[in-house]
Formats: sequence, structure tokens, C-alpha cells
Amino acid sequence: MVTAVLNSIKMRHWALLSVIAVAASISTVDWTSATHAGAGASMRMFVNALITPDISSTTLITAGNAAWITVAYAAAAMSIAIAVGIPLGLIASGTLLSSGISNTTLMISVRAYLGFIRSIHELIWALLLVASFGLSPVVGVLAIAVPYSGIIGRVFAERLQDVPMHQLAAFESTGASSLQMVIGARIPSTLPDITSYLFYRFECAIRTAAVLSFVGLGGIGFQIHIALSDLKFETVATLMYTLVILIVVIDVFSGFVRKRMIA
Amino acid sequence: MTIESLRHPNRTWAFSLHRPSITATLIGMMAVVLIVSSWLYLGSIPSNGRLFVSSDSLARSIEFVGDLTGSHSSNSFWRHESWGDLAKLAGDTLAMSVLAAFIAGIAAFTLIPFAASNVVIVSARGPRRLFQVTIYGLTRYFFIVTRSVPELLWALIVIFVFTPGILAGALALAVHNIGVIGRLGADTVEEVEQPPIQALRTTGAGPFQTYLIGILPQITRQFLTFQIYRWEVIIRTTAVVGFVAASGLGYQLRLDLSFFRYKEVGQLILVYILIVWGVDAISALARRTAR
Repeated sequence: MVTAVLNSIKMRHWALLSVIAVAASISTVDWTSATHAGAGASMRMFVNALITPDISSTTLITAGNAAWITVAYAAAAMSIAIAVGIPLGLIASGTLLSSGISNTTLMISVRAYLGFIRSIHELIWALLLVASFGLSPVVGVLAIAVPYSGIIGRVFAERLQDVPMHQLAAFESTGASSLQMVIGARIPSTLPDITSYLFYRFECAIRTAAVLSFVGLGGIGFQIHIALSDLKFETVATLMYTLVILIVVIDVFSGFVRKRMIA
Repeated sequence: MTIESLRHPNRTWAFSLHRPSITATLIGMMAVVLIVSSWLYLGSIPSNGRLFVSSDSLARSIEFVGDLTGSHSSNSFWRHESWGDLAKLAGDTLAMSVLAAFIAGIAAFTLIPFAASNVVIVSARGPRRLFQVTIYGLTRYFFIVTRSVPELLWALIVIFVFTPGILAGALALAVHNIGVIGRLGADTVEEVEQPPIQALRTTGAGPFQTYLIGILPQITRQFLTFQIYRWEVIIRTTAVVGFVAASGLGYQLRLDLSFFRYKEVGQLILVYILIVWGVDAISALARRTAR
């Protein structure tokens, strides 16, 4: 019944819904005072700054330091997120455990837990953790690690379930246990995907670490905050390009690793 | 759903754990060095945070959780008006996310052909090729800069030009997502099946005709699926962009936390989670149709 109703939804219904949603959203915007009086001038200043960023040695040293702080938060957070997310993902996938009532309960509760922690944005986790435990670097790390473990857990679980049957059939015919199947077939076949996904998550963690300045921790976002308050757009541009370099390095590295793993 | 599975939906891998290559060992070592030095550095930062240590902070945390979960009778969970207020704020947040997804989708979709080397770079040599390479480079540069800077930092910059509100927040979200959607779209176009395109070329179709007729139909579904999936990501972030853009649930959360009104925060986060789950459900349905 439900499936029949769901299947009867066609693309044109979604198109119509989207048009209505977009029109309703546009109508909530106050267009009469959308921009500031000096909007054009600010825009020009910012674009000029992007073309000629500040490359004085003091700014570059500040940017380098801020980059390291941001990377340190991201790497520390990823280490916890992987250490927690991968085992939880293994349980949530249901590939390891035999189907008994207690195992199914465990699987469902782990899935619910992962779903809950990843629903809340990193920065809201940060605000809640700071309000509860006070401000410290560990709180910053946990704020990223908690939702990221939820996301990594879910993606790992999905990958483990999606391993094609023909890759498993050979193992199954030898009478392998489900543990041997997971170690011998499922994990190796998901490894390239998971590795590049973890690189992508590291990239996201760097962006998230860059906005921890909103709860009062250092890094690139903190420096951008300061430079914007001083209206130093050239410094802002330098810091933005620092972030760009970090992201490009991870991207290139990830592409290289992936190529080596598939070959 | 991962980026890679969207890009290569049907690829399977041949890979063995039994012969870890030099590359794998090297990467493992680099990761260990990076993680250890990060922890050493963060441990060396002096801070007055009292994480999990004193009985005082533990008592405070317990009280905080009590405030969040509505165990007090003065908690906003038990008031009618506050539900109405939050519904309005949730509406603003939803509007901001829809607008952001719309702007990002349209802009990225328009720019994608200019960032795909197999569409835009067609001349073999000469000034035309130089011009085409420049266009390609500029579009790719635009994508990488917009993608690298997170939404919240874009919001700080956007409010120099736009007055804080739904539009400013939506633009900040859109700028980052143009980079994300655009890059993935352009990469997909570059990896598209070649034979139908060569067939079109031989009939004398120009590069943009080839794109419209030969490439676009091949990527539309993938593009739509990814666009819908991005909306899920955007709705999560919209709440926090509200901190800066001064609208929706995010702004209210910031106010409540600054004034230590923790008894209101729990309800707000509940509403936030409900709209995130609602969007996830709609998105899952829409992706089911698009597939």
C-alpha cells in the first residue's frame, strides 16, 4: 500500500513542490533593505583583496600558526571519530552478528545513537559542551569528534552492507564464518571507498575546526574574525587562501592514495 | 552516501589486506605522526577548562542536562507560546535552507560546463585554446575558493554587503555549496562516457551542443540526487549560520546561550532535530523518485 503510494510520486510532483517551496522562501525575504548603503564599496574592497592578498611576513607567520592549530584540532578529532565510529559502524551494519533478539536490539540501538549524534551540527555540540564543561581544547576536539563518529559509523555500516554478492559468494562457499567474511571479504572490498571518504571527512573537519572560533577557540577562523573586525580585507584573503591550500593538499593526497589503492 | 559512490556508482574494487604496499605503510605512519603531534600540541595549550575533573563541574553538568531535558516545571517545554515562537523560527530556517539550495543549485549548474575540460577546452592550439584554458582555470579557481571556506566564515563576510537576515544567511550557505556542487558536477562531466559524445562530434555538433545533448542527459539524475542530498547538509548548517545572519533557530540559540537561558535551549534543539529529520525524510523520498 505505502510502497504503491510512494511509487506513484513522480518527478513532476517534486518539481511542483520545489517551485512552491522556493517561491514561499523568496517571499519571506525583505527585499527593500537587503543590502547596506555601502554594499558596492565593501564588495569591491573584498574582491580587490582576493586579487592582492597581504603577503607580509608577519601575516604569513600568523596564517601558518593558525593553519597548524586548525589542522591539529581536525586531526585529533578525526582520531577519536575513527576509533569510535568504525567499531560502532561494524555493529550497526549487522554483518558481524548472528540474528538473535539481543543482537538485533544492540544493532538498532547503535543505529539510533549514531543517528542522533550526527543530527546535531558540530557547532551546536561545541556550544553545548562548552556550556556544560567550560572552554578547553579537549571540548573543541570532542565537538567535532562526536557528530563525525556518527557520520563515519553510518557510512562504514552502509559500505559493509553494500558489498556485492559475487565478492562474498566465493568466501561463503568455503564455509567461512561471518567474522571471517567481514575480515576477509567485506572490509577489504570497502577499504578504498572508506579511505577516500575519511580523507573527505578530514577535509570537512578542517573546515569545522576553522569555525571553532565561534565558541572561543583559536585557529584560522579566529584570525579571520580579528582581521574582519579590523577591516583588514587583505589579511582575510591571505587566511582564506591558507584554508584553500590545506584543502587542495588533502584533495591531491587523497586522489593519489586512491589511485594507488585501486591499481 | 559517499561522494565516490555518486561518482562511480557501479565500480567494484580489487584490493587485498594481505599485501600492504609501501604507500599504505607510509600513509599510516604519516597519519600517526600527525595525530600524535596534534594531541601533544593541544595538550600543551594552557586552559581553564575543567573537563570531567572537579565535583563542582560535574554538578554543573548534571544541572545543565536537567535544564535541557525539561525536568523543571519552569521549562519552556511546558509553555504553549514558546512552541509557536519556535515554529516561526523553524519556518525562517527552512526558508533559508531552501533559498540556499536553490541559489547554489542554479549557479553551480550554470557554471559546471565551464569547469569541465572536455566541454570547454576544444581547440588544439592558438589564442582560442589559451582563452578556453583561462575560462576553465577561473571557474575551477572560483569553485575551490568557495568550497574551501566554510559557510560560517562566508556569513561573516556576506554581512559586510547584505543586511543580516534570511537572504544574507542563504547567500553564505549558497557560496560554499556552489563550490561543493560545482566541483563534483564538473568532475562527473569529465568522466562521462565518451562514445556517444564522439558520435555527436562527428555529426558536426559544437562543444556546447554536445554538452546539452550528449552529456547533460547522462548526468542529470546524478546531479539531482546530489543536489537533494546537499539540502540535507544545508539544513543542518542553516541553524548555525543563523548565529551570524541573525535569523531563525540559530540566532535564538545564540541569544539563549548568551543569557544562560538553558531551560529554553532543550526545546529549541528538539525542534532543530525534528526539522533535520523531516528534511532527511523528504530528501530520501525525493532521491528515491530521482533514481
